[in-house]
Amino acid sequence: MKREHFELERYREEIYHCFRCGFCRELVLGGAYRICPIREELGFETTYARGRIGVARALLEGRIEYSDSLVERIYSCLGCYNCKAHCPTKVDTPSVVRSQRREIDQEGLRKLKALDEIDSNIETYKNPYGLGKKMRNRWAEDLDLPKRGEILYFPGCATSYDRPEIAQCLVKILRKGGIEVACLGEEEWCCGIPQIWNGRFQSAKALMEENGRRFEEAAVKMILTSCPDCYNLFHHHYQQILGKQPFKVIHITELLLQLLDEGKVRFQREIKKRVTYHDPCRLGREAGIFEPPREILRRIPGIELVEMRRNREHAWCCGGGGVVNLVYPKLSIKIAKDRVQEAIETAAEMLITCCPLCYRQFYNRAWERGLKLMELIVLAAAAMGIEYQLKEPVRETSGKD
Amino acid sequence: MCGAPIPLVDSSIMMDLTRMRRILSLNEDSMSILVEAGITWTEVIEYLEKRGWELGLEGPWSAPSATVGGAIAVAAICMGAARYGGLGSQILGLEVILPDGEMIRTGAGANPANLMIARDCNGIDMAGLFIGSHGTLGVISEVSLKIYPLREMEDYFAFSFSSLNDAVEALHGLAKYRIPYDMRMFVHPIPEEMDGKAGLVFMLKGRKTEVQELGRMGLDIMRAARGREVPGFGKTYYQGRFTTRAEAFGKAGPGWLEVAGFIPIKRYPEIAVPILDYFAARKREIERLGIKWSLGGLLETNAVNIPMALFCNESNSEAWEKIIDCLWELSDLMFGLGVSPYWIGHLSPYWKGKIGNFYQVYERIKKVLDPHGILNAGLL
Repeated sequence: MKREHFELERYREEIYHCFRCGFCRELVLGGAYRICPIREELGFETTYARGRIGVARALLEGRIEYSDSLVERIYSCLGCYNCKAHCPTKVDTPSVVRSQRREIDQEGLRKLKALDEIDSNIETYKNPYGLGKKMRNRWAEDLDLPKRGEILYFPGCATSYDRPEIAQCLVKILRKGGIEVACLGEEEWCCGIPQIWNGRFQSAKALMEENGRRFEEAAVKMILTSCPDCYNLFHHHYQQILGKQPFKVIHITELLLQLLDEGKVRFQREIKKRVTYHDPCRLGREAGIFEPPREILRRIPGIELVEMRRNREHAWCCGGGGVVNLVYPKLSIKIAKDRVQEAIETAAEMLITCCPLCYRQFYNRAWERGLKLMELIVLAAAAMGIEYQLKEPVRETSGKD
Repeated sequence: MCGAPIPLVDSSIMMDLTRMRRILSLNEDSMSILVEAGITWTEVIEYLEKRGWELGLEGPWSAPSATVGGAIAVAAICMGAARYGGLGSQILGLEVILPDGEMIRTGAGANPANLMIARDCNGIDMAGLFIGSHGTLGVISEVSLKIYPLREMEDYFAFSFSSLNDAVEALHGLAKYRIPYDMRMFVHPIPEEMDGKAGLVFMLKGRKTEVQELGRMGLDIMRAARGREVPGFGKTYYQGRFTTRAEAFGKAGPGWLEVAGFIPIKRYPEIAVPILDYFAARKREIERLGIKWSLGGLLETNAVNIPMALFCNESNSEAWEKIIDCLWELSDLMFGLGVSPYWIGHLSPYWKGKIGNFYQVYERIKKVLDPHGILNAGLL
C-alpha cells in the first residue's frame, strides 16, 4: 500500500519545481565552485540536491519507500543551503530533507545511534551535551546579569558550554556601548535547532514552547543571539512552528555594527593581522548576513581582511551542519579540513568565524596547520581592550552537575 | 534536463563520469586541450581563459553543470554554433571505452606516439561515430578539443521584428556573412523587453577590430530587415543564459518535453506558423492545464534549429499526459514538414521507423560493437 507522506506533501510544489539542471552539483562560474560538500566526498547522485529531490519525488509518487540505507543517505545532508543559493528556481532542499527526517522519526525508522544520545541528553538535561544547568551559566558568574529585560541575550548551548568566552565578550562589549542585556542563565533550554535537524519535531517544539514561556515571563521584546543556529531558530522556525513570534531577533554582528556606527563603542587597539573570514552557513546563506561581520573586521585597526576563494553565498560549509558531524564524523572532519586549507591558501594568519559550531569544526584542523582561529566577537573585544576570562570549555570536563 | 539521456528501459544504470574531470594537457603548439570526459564545460573555459585561450564552442546552456562527454554523446547544440556549427567541428579526437572493455583512440591519436590533434586520419572518421551516439556504442572517456586565442572583445545585440518573415530574413543575412558568434530567435514567448512577432539576439566575439566591423555589418542587416533595436537586452540575455530557461519555466514545470531539429533557414516560417496555429487552436485547454511552451530558433552556421519545448508541472497528471500527446502530435507535424531531429533520446522509438534505412544501419553497427546490447539499451 502506498505510504502517506504528510510532511513531504507540504513541499510538493517545491519538489516539482526542480528543473534538474544540476547547478546544485557544480556551477563553475567565477572560480570553479563545487556546490555540495557531501556530494564531493561521497559522489552519488542522491548525495546532493538534485538527487535528494528525486528521492523525495519518488517517495511522494510511491515508487520507493524509506529503507535503512535511504535513511542514512537522508541524514547525510549538511543543510548548508549552498544548493538553494545556486538554484535557478530556488528549490529549498534543506527544508525537504528536514521534512523527510521528520517522517522518518514519526515512523520510528531512524536507527542512527549517534543521534540517540542527543535525544536522551536533550530529554534529560535540555541540552545536546548532557551537561548540567549550573555549567551552562558558568560564563556569567561574575557578570551579574538580570533575568528580566527587554533585550535578552540567548547564548545557546554551544556558546554556553563550549565557547563561553564569546558570551563574556559580548556582554562586556554591550556594556561598553551602554546596553544591558538579560539572560535566562540556568533556566535557558536548548533552542531546539538540533532536534529540528534530527527530525524530532515534537521535542524541538517542546523546547521552543518552554523557552517561549520564559521569554514572556521575562518581558522580552528582543532576542539577541551570537550563535547563527539559535538566530535561525528564532528568526525562521519559531514563527513557522509556534505560529507566533512576539519578539524581534537580532544577531550580535548587526548590533555591534550599529553601535560602531553610532560611536557608542570603538576599537582602541591595533591588531596587525592578515585575517580571512569564514561565513557560517546559517548566518550567511540562511540568514543573509554576509557584510556586517566583514565590516566589523575592516574597522579593527591593523586588520587586513582577505577573502577565501569561495566566500559569501559561495562559501564552503565547515562540515558540521545538519547533524552530519554526529552521523558522519570522518566525513565532517574532511570537509572542515578542506575549508581550513582554503583559508591557508589566502596566506592569512588568522581564520575568523562567528559560529561556535564552525569554531569547533575548525579548531583541531587549524591548529594542526598552524593557523590561528578566532571568534569575531572575541577579536572585537580584544580590539576594544576588553579583558575576559578564558574558561576551559565545559565540554572537556567530566561529570554532570 | 530535456530528456536526451533518460534511460529507456527499466532497471538501467546511469554512469556518472563527473569525477573524471582532470585537464590532462594543454597543447598550445597544436592548439588543443585534452580533458577527461566528466569535466564541465565551464571549468575547461575558466582554465583556458586564465591562460589566454578559449574554446570555439562554449558548451550547451547548462554548461556550468554539463559535462564535455555528456554533451558530445547527445551532440548538443552549443553556445557559438552560429560561427562554428555542430559540436563535432571542435573535436579533434576521442578516447572511447567499448562495451567489451577495449579502449580506442580516434584520429591522429590512434598512433600512440602522437597526440589527438586531427580527426581525419587513418581513413574513417571514427570520432564521428560516437558524436551524438547517446552512449549506445561506447563510453567517451577523454576528449581533445580545439582551442583559440582568447577574444579581445564581445558585443551583444537584440532586435524586435513586426513579422516573423522579417526576423528570418535578418537571421539569414547574418548567417550568410558569418557575422554572429551565437544567435537566438524568439517566436514564443517574446521576452517582455521586446515586442512584435519575433525577436533576435546575437553575440559577437573576437579581435576588437573584427567585432567592431561585424557589429556595423550586423546593424545594417538588421535595419534593412526592419528590426528595432532593444538596447541592453542582448547583453542581459547572454549573461543570464545559464538560468534564463529555468527561471522562465521552472515554476511552470519542470516537466519538460522537447522536439527540435534542423531545417534550412528560410523555411523556418513554414514550420513555425503551423506550430503557432496548433497552439492557438488549443489555447484554452493549454492555459487551463498550466502548460507553457516555447518556440525559438538557434543558428548553426548554414541551418537553423527549431526547438519546440513544452513545460508543465508533472504532479498534474492531466497536464503531463496532455503535453505527451502534444509532443507526438507536434513531432508528426514537424517531421512531416521536413525537420530532422538533432538529438533523439526518448524520441528515438518514434523516429526509428520514419527515416528509411538510417536506423537499420545504425543498429547493425551497434550489433558489432555491442552484441549484448548493454549500452543504452532501448534507444535503438
